[in-house]
Amino acid sequence: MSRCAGCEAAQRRRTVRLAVPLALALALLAACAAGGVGVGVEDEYWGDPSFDYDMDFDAPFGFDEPWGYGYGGWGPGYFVGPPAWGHRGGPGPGAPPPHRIEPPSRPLPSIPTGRRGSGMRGMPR
Amino acid sequence: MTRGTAWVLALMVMAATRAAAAGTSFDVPPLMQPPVASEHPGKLIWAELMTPDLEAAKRFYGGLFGWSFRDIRAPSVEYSVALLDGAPIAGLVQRTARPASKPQPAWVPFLSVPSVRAAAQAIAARGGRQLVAPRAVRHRGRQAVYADPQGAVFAVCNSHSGDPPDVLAAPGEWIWSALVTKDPAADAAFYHEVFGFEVFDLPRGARGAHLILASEQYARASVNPLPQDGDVRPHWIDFIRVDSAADTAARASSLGGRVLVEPHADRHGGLVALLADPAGALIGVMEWNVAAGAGGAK
Repeated sequence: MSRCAGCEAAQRRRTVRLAVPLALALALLAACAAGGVGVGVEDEYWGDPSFDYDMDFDAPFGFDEPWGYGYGGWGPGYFVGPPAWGHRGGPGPGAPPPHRIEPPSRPLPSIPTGRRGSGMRGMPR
Repeated sequence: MTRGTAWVLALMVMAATRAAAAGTSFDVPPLMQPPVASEHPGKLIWAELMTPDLEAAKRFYGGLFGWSFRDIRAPSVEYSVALLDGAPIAGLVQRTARPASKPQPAWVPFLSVPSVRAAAQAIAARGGRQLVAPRAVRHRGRQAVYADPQGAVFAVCNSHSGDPPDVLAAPGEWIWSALVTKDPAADAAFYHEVFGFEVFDLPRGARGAHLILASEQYARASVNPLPQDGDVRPHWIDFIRVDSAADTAARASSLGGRVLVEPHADRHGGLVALLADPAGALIGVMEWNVAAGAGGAK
C-alpha cells in the first residue's frame, strides 16, 4: 500500500524543524562545556573562570620600583634555610613574640624528605 | 524571520562566542594529573615570575634548571608554563613596564589554602592588602594575590586537582621559601593566624629573630630579619633544589644572571646561593644532601 506523497513530505519537514534546533542546542551545550561554564552554588561567589591574566607590575602589585640588592649582611651566621633533622630551637632573648611559639623541647620539623610515591605532578594536558 | 529561526540564530551566536572565548582563554594546566585528594595547607605549590623579557627568562631558567616551556595563549598576556620532566613547575609572565617606571621583576610564591575565601577574610582582618582579587582559573583552582602587613607579596591557591605530595623535592623543583622582613616576629604571627602555621623559634641572629613556619609537621618556610639596613623592602625568596649550588651559580653567570650571595653553608649543612636572573628577579638555589637530611621528616 503506497503512502500519500504529501504526507511523507510533511513528515520530513516536521522532522527537519525539530532536528535542526535540537542539534544546535546540543552544539551549544557542548561549546559551553568546553568553555568551562557550569556554575554551581559554590561558584556563584567566583563567577565564570577567568579568561585572562590580571597580575601586573602596577603599583597595587607592589612591583613598581626596585627593592635593590640589599644582601650585604647575608654572611656567616645569617641562615635562612631549613633545619636539619633533629635540630632543636629555643627562645631567643628579648621580648616574647606576639604569637604562640612551640616549646623548645620539641624538635624542629624538617622539610619533606620522603621518596616520591604514586602521586604524580600535573602533566601538560 | 520566524520566532523559531531567531532563537536558532541566537543560540548559534552564543555558541560561537563561547567557543571563541575558550580558544583564547588563560588556560594553565592542573597542578596534579591525575587529580589527588590531598591538600597541604601552607605548602609552596606554585610560583609565577613577572618579567619584562619572557624569552630571556626562558633561556636562563631552562639552562639553569633544565626546565622546558609550554606557551599558552591569553588575550592580554604572554605566559609560559615551566615544566620539569613534563610536570608543571611555575609560570613565567611577560609584562611591559610603563614608561619611566622601574619595575622589580620578581617571583611570587603560591601557598596552598583549603579555602581562598576564608584566607581572603583572614588576611584582610590581620592587615594584609589584596593585590589581585580572588578568582577562579580554569583547570587550576582559585587564587588571589596579597601583600602581608609589611609589604611582602604572596599568593594563595586552592588547587582543584590537589597539591603535590610532601616528598623530597627533586633537583629543579621548589624546595624552600624564606621571608626576609623588618619584623620577623610580627610577620610570623600574621602567617600563623592566616595559614595556621606552627612557629618555631631558632637561635637569634645578629640582626634579629629567625623563625620557622611549619604545617603538617613539616618545615615550610623561614622568617628572617632583612639582611641589610636601608631601603630594602620585605620579600619572599623561593629556593630551587640543585645538585651543586656552586656549579649552578657559575652557570647563572654564564647565562646572563648574577650571583647576589655566593654559595655558602646554611644551617641544614648544604650550600645555598642567591641569584638574579637577567632581568633582576631573585631566586635561591639550595643543595639538600639526602644523607644529612635523612632520618624522616616527622
